[in-house]
Amino acid sequence: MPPTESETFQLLALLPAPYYCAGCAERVCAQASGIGGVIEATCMAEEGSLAVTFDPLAISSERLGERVRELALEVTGAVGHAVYRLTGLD
Amino acid sequence: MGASVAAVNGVHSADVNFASGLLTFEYDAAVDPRTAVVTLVRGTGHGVEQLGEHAEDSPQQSWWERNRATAAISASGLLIVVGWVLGTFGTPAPASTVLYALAILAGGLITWRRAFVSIRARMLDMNVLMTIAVIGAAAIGEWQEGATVIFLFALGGWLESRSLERTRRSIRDLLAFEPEQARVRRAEREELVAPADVRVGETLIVRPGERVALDGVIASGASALDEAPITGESIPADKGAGDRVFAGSLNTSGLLEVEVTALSTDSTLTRIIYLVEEAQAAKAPSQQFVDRFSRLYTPIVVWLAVGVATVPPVAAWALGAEWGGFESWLYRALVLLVISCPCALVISTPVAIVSAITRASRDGVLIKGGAFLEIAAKVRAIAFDKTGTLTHGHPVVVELSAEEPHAFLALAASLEANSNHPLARAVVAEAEREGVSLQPVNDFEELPGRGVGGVVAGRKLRLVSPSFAAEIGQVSNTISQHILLAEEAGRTVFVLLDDGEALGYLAVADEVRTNASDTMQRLRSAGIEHLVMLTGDNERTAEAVATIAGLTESRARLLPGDKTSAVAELQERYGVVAMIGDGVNDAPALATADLGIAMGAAGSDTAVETADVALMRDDLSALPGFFDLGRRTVANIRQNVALSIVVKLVVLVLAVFGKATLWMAVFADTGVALIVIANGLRLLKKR
Repeated sequence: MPPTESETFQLLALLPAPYYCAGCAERVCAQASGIGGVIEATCMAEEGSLAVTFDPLAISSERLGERVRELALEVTGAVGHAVYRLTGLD
Repeated sequence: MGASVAAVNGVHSADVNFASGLLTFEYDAAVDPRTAVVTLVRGTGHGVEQLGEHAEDSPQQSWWERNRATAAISASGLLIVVGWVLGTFGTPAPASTVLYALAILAGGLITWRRAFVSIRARMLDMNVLMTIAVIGAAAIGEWQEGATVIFLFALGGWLESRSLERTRRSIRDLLAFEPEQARVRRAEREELVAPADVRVGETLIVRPGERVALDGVIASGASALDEAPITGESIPADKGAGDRVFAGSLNTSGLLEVEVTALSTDSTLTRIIYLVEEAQAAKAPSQQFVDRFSRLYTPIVVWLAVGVATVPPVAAWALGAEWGGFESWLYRALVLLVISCPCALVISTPVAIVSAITRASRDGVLIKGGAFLEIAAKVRAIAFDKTGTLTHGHPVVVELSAEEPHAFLALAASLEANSNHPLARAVVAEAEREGVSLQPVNDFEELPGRGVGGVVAGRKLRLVSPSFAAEIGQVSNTISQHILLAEEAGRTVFVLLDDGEALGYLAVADEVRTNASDTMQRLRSAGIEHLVMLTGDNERTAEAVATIAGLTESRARLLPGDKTSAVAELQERYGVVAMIGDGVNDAPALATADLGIAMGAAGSDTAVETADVALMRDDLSALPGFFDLGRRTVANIRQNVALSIVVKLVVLVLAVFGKATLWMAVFADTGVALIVIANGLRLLKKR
């Protein structure tokens, strides 16, 4: 068994969207499990947190943090969000 | 609309919230389909404005775009009148037919576009069905009827959208109470800045007659504040240093300096509006019945229309029978198509829920969803917490009996200084008032529901309830007699034991709210017979408070966990039970009850977030109105649903037997929808 460590990220702070978007949180979570050295990435999109279990020999805690922040930027940079108020709805 | 927007190239997902009138969508930033979405939405006759930080990027609507629907409907109506007048005065039929055809084109300007968008999204909505019906009517030579039908349909939709718009906007209008500028003290100067530029910790200056721009705490000054946008109470509340004030409140008299505690985007008023809009969007249980019914009703009636248009004429032809011509059966089928859309039914629940939630929020009652209004209508028993709910929650020491009162108070207050209980704070406050110094406490222990204990100056002390004191120590008959009298007067008594020996007692009183008895009377008039108090106090104190407050029953000596069991037991006995507390200490019992109501929620974020219903004022008076609103809302929904279904079914049967006209079908659809909206909007009115 490789040694494991856990880190929890607050997606609320990571996602620089105009408002917290559960869709973007899910996208970041889905991609986080693909980072080298990550054993498990569990997303609690509604609570806005991402729990990552990783192998500290494969990736350091600092590097993991950087990668998750990069992912958040990539995701939110690629997805736009819009809210419109409609009138005349019946 | 949501499906049509989601089908636009580059849009990942889209959602339209009917209650709030908001369209939200996620899109591929590389494609940026926002302009295409706006064009699509405007093409269907809806107005659209972007919210958020890109709001200024949204292209402006031209005058024609804003008014074309009104102009087209007016033109359609005018053309029908002229066509009818010409026909009446003997003008050749083709002249009237041309005018009716033009009326159809004008009246259907929006309907055709929406039908086209729906067909592209592979949806069979009312616009598609109406388009088929009008084309069919024209095909069998019923030009006047076709024109009138599309005109009435468009007019009905126009009236509906305006009525619903009023409801949607009414809660957001509260934001108008937040001033556009805040007066801030910076570098010993007063500056007028946008509230969004004010940081937490800065000092606001609020002059008499001005509204508070951001939530905060009064640093200096005193005034009476009208907090109607938040609490629904327009009688100004007196406030001074240390009291919380809310953005949107009107300062009616003194000059205030307020330390800002929340950003403008996080003000209590903004959060209330957000929660109300979220609640309005949530589907009530009765909506689920309507959704299930609608999912079955429309396809059944559409297939019935297809059957009516084809089976009888073909059967008559095959059998050589005289069952009327093809045109007569096609006409019946067109009537069925028009009534196949359950518009009035679909709108019957949300319009009542949105109106009721908005009315409640204006009265200082925050309801977290339509489901809770429906539960309120079924409540048969209400459980009340005592301290802070039936009483003011500001207990004071009213009696102290000991040989050395000052020394007694010093010991009692030293112990209670380690507890957060409201009664403990009363003892400490009394010590401060008397100028008594506190002493250090070792081995402090909290005895839930019983009292506290610890070692002071080497003495093993316990400040506990009289019953617990009798269990673990010696209490003289004289002290017991005095305690009995104090408890019968509704006071909470604590006995101080020094190594098991009673040194004396103190009695704490928390005044019952003056309007409690009147509120209970109004709740009984509203049909809620079982009003129960849950308290940790002894039976005598509980009975005294329950009598003063006008309750039917009291449950005494309940530990915090016992309140949850008491609520469960009430549920078994009476069915649906509501529990009212401060929303923080009573959280488990509030969660167990079918309806958890937190009181005085304007000052407590936790209460607003966790309760099903939050009374923004620290006052019971809004309670009867809330339960009455719940009953009226459910009655209103039942009226709307019954009217929608009965009228549709009557016209459906008449249509099959050839006794219904297209006009009747339009009334059964759009006409009933307008009646349903008008009925739902009655809930907005203050009673």
